[in-house]
Amino acid sequence: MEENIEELINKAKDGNKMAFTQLICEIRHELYKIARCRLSCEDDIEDAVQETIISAFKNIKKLNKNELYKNWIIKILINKCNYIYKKNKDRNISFENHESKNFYYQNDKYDKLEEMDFYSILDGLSYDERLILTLFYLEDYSIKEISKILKKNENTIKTKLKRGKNKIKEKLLKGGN
Amino acid sequence: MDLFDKEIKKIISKDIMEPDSYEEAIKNALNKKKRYNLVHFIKKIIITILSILSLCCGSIIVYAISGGKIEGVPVMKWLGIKISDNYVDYKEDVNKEIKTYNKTSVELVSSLASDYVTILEFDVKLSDEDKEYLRLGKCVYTPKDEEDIKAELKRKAEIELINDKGSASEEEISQRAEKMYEEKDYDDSRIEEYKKYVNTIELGFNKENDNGLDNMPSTKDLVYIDGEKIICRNYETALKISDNEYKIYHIFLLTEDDLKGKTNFNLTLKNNIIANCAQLKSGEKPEIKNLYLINTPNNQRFIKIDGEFSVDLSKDKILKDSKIIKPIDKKSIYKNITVEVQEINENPIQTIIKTKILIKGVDSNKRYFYSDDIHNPLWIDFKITDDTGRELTSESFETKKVLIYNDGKTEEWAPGDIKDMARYKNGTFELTQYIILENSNSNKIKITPSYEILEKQTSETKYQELENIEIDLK
Repeated sequence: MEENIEELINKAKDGNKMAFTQLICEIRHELYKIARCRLSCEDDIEDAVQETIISAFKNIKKLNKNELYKNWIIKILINKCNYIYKKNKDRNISFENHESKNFYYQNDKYDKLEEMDFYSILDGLSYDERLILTLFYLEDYSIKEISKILKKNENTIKTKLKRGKNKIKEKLLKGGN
Repeated sequence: MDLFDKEIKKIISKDIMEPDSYEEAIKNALNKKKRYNLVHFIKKIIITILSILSLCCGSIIVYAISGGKIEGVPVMKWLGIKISDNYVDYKEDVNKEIKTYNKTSVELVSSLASDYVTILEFDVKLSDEDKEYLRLGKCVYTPKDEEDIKAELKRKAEIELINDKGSASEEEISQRAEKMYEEKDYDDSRIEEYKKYVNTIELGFNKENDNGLDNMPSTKDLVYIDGEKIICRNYETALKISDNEYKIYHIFLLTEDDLKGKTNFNLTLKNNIIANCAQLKSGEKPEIKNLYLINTPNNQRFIKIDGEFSVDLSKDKILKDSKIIKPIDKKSIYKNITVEVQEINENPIQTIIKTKILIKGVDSNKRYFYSDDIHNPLWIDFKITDDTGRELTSESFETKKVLIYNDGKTEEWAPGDIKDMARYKNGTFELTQYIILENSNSNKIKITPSYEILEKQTSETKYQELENIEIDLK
């Protein structure tokens, strides 16, 4: 862990809001992507991230291992997303079906990998698969770490990761035909 | 990781577009200790925190100056700057009146254009209906806001109960919410802050935008100068004459760049509004330093004024009586910071000082920390004294802020803007700041630049002064 981050976490634990702000700034884009795996309504994403930030600031003193701060915040975020998703299921249309409504989404053919983006590559995958792939590839978490964050068996994570990758491969083959 | 894995990683790591509201949402969450049902809360409680330039207005020291009195109320009060008595000799009568459909009238009474400072004087006469609608004189914090807080606490209580035990009955939720309310388990510091404010009025000009009419008063105005849109800083003072009458002085800070060097120009104001805005109750002090303007949607009201004001202005009369001094090499340097005085404009109304500030080696990661080698202020404050050592009343405002990244790329920030999310290392800030200063008979003035910085160990704010810059005015 970089000394700077360690220092920021310690300051945040002492109640330094500026330090906490910097910690959040560093990971805000990642938080958005992780929330996006579950939620499609922008208001809900913002709600989840905001509640995560507030909860994290309130409880950061309880964080025992500084090096796990990111895992810890992601865990909070995933829980918040799950809760909001359950409450507002009607407005959070599934990731698979939201392309027509999602103005960020542009590609509808997958014949070339380089033309794909975050949305198109994860399109067609289940929520668990999207989240696991995002944590694995974006955050560079190991299977073991993901299993701890999601409180799921390592083999389940492995299977879902493999299944997700296969779906992407199939999608590419289909698009190429 | 095989090639396919690497490709997936590359794609998942690609930046995606986030809505602008996302950054705003993060800022809001970071700026508040606790908030419940945050999305709705954002929509319900609007707190306009303005940049440091507008902060100055928060600690206004009001001076009454000449210009006469109307029923015992000083006609002119200014934001800490003593404007010369000459104001009354240089202002030009206009007398252009516009009425609203409710018989509220707004009259542009006079105008004055000098270098950087243009002042319009308005008389506003409100109908009883509009006065009530704007909630003038009433507290900014409304009973409906209190109800909203209770509703948000109920939602928070529900979340907590479901997290704790998986389910929650209505009764349990109400009990938990009531307890939270009693224990003030919400951000009551802001509510206490709201309670210090009552409503007064503010005029807003050229408030049209893509979504219709922007109903929020602002410290930045869009104005039409000879038909061309310009964004400029503004200040406004509203004086209550009677329950239904107000006198308003609206100051536009127009730089030479804004006017393209013209001394005669037309100023047009259309799509104008009268809005309510917060004013500190007498004797109260704002606790939140940078909270200049407070309003809640339950309180926020505005009335559209039909028609437009169009006024021809001339600086010629004042320019004839102005003196411009261009000092050579008047700089103060400390560590990575250079403050240079470039021009002093002494006119019959006030003195204007133009400064250029360079802050080198700035690093967003160290923005909030005191570092021995590099200091990272985002603006500079000024204290100005005359040759007897008396502090002169002054107000500084930023007109330009440019960030030069270490690769030479430049990014202009809106004056007064502080982009919390910007990331830079070894960059340079280039600021243009003007100081409006009361006129004095002093032969010399002493300018002391300073800035606020956080102490690394204690996180306490300290002031760092630079060396004085002495300017000969004669």
